[in-house]
Amino acid sequence: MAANAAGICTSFKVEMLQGFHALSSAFRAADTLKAALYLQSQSIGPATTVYSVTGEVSGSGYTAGGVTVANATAPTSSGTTAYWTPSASISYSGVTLGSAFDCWLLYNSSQSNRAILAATFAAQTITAGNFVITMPTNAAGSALINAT
Amino acid sequence: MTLVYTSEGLVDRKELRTVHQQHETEEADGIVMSVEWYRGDKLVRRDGWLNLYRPQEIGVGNGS
Repeated sequence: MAANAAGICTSFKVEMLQGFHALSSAFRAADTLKAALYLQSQSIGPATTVYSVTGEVSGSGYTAGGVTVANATAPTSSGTTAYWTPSASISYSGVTLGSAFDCWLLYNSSQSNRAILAATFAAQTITAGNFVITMPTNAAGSALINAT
Repeated sequence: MTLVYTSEGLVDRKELRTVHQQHETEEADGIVMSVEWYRGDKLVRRDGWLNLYRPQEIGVGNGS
């Protein structure tokens, strides 16, 4: 049975070293990042390399590709840990998503939709409401992405 | 009168009852809090809030 799994996408680790991803404007213009939701029946995870509409949720108020992720806080470090977190919650407002979903994929829409990470949660549906992903504290050890 | 947007349009808040729940699995990266809104026995709205608590790690530390 297929299942979504959490983790940093392996392709992102390679592409980070290759210079594909700009999570801030420190070196060049920051890329636009997006977040898409996936159905429980899918296999999104560390092996995912790009965003795909296959298996993505659909429903009233939801646009394929998901929503843009706020990225106003540049990556930084503390001690030997570099870290980064989106600068605001990710909100899907006024949606109806009738099929159970349990995963969201962060990806770089400026760089051919290259995948960054997948995160999982208990399966949900939304009816005429909002689904909000609240970010963790942006600090070493708790940030969304930690590089140690 | 306070109106709430639902699958049946705007409904007076007094006609709705809410059920609050939390959802978590062993493998999850966060906990989901949900609020279900019922008009009688019919679910007319459901919201969810995912609070992430597990960071994503690159690397396994450098020992320093």
